Amino acid sequence: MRCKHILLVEDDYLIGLNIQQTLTSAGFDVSGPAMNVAAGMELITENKLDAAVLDVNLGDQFSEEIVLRLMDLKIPYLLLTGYDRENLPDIFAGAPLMEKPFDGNELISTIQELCKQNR
Amino acid sequence: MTDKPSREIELEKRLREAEEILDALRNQKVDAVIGTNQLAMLRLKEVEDKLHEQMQIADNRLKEIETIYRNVPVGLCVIDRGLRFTRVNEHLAKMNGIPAEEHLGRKITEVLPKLAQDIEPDLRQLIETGKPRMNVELNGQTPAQPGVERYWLEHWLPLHGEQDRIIGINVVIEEITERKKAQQTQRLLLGELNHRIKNNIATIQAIADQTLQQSGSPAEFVEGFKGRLQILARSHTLLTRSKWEGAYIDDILKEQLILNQKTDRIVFTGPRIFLASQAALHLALVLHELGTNAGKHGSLSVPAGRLQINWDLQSDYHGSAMKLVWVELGGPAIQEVHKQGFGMPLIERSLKAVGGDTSITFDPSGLRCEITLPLLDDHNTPEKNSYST
Repeated sequence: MRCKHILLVEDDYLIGLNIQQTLTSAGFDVSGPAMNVAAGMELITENKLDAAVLDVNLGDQFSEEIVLRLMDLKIPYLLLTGYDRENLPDIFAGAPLMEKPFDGNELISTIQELCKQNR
Repeated sequence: MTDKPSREIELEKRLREAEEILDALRNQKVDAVIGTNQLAMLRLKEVEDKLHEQMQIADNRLKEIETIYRNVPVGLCVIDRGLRFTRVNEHLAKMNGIPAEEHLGRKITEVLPKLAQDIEPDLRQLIETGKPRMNVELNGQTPAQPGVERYWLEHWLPLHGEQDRIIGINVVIEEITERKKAQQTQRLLLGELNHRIKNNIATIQAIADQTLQQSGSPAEFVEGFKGRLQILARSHTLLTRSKWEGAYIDDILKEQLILNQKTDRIVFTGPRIFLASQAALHLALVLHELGTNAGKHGSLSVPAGRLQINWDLQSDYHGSAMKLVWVELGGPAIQEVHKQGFGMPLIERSLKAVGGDTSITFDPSGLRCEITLPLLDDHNTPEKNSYST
């Protein structure tokens, strides 16, 4: 399975920019950062994605609608969030999770691992 | 005529006799030799007195217990071997929303079907084994507050009758709904605090990375990083004051060091508008970038340059919004190289997360930035005081 095109959903511009640059410099193509659910859903429709990196709390909404769509499409995703697992809404239970602040190398290797598992 | 039973009359007679003897003794009118009959009478009087005293104590104890049962702010009840209520205090009646007398003689499953179903087997077991159960947590609803989930802490104690036979259960019920709610709120708050702290660290991480990329030297990095970190910290202080509800636009502007000079070069006018916390935080960072750029390359970098910041409330069918216009005048011509860099994309894009819109134009007279921020709350009403410097 290809592991090239990544969806990025993050509502904080600065953090989003940082993730985007981390991914781009590792050779990924990045769609996003989408700052809300609607923008994220649009990017899913428009692009052929291999994986996704999602913030959980997008200001006044959670990214669960995006998670459900990604599950339908069998696109692996990683939650990159300030929440630890026990404070996440139930829908996210069992989802791969990385806590902020993130380490760039760990982020990249985790995405590659997710793509592999999805083979 | 009297209708007192003959035993009582007899008793009273004897008591009187005993008292007479006592009187006689006290008055020393009696000989040293006292007959056995009189001695017996004395003993009888002593026994009667003791009995009377004991009964008084027992009666007082009972009254004490009754008072406690009635007034203690916990639910109390007694249920028999058939799991019927035989006694219920007022507090429990109120908790259940059912008058105390309507409990009596009825099975617990008749009075509180849903709640009692869950504990019935445990209560039966207690009647068999006689083992008390302490700190049993229960939750559910009662007719007192239909639709409201409540929590109780119960203690079940066996009641022993003759020959230690268990004749029922003494139940103590404490409502802990408020405590539970407080615990849940505290857990939520801690989770939220943790989330916020980590997000803030991630933001600082991003600021460090981005500042590093546009810094030519360590000194430049330190200056840029420190400024951004400072405005982040100041904004947090400002927001904490309102318990993270938000902040007023003029307070946000005053936190910006560069705008807080006592000079007529900088003018800001507009009504007092309240911004929700995320919008306030992002706007503070944007204003910091605008201010830094103005000080380095824009109108505030030369003595004759000026800066005008005007804002106002806008309302249309979408709701209300704040429109802020940042106009630099009399500065140097802006060089192409300063139109990019970390600050510019941050200014242009970072308000999108809170539904805002930013546009920057480089007029010959200086930079012009227009910011629109939607206002989602009802803090802003026309009668609020206007603010200007």
